[in-house]
Amino acid sequence: MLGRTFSYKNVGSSNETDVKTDLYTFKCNFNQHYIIEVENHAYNIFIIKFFKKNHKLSKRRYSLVNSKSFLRRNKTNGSKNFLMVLNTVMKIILDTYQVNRYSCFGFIGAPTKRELDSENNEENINEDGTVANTKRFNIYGLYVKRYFSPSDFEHIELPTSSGYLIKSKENIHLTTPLIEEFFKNYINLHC
Amino acid sequence: MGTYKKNIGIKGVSSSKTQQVSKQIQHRARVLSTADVEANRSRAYTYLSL
Repeated sequence: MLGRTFSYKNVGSSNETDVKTDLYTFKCNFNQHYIIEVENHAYNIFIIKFFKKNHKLSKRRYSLVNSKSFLRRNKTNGSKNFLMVLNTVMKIILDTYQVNRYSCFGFIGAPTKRELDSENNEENINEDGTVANTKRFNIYGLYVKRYFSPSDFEHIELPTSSGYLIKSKENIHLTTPLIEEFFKNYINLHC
Repeated sequence: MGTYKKNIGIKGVSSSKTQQVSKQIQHRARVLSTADVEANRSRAYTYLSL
């Protein structure tokens, strides 16, 4: 059973790119607003992204985290809040799945600032802008394995790009080569 | 996500500051088996009934 979530609302869709993107917002325990983007791609693939609203204009909005001073001020290590953020994202995923049983959900675990530093992480940084085996990839991967049963979903990892797809087994048209092709194109366009 | 390109000097000599190593790679998908999914999964959680 899913843990506690924040109350979220759908705030419409964005058509800034050629990919229709559903937008959701919620406010966390620290009164910080978050934006969740659910990109609608071919083959019923939904790519999930989220970031803090005050990072909206940053190119690195998917990589940024709460600062240590922010956590100190709020007297927390942020873990409980972080788990509720993930639960909220999961709730949106579940709501999408209830409407469309063919839905497949993907993410690319964005690298941290340290993981983007070639002096610290040279061996994992790829020319196409992706970073292999990021911390987020590992954490989100563990998180989704808790909830998505392998009897209903296939778990597909692309560790070299920190990509992950949870594929509905009802979506029989989406084959593994198509998934590789999808991520290849996605990386070319978005990373 | 940032892109890191090798920046070699005019004579092919790179300084430690400008050289950023990068790798061109083909991203292969790996379909996890049930055992892979179960391997690092805490028993404290139950799968969602969907």
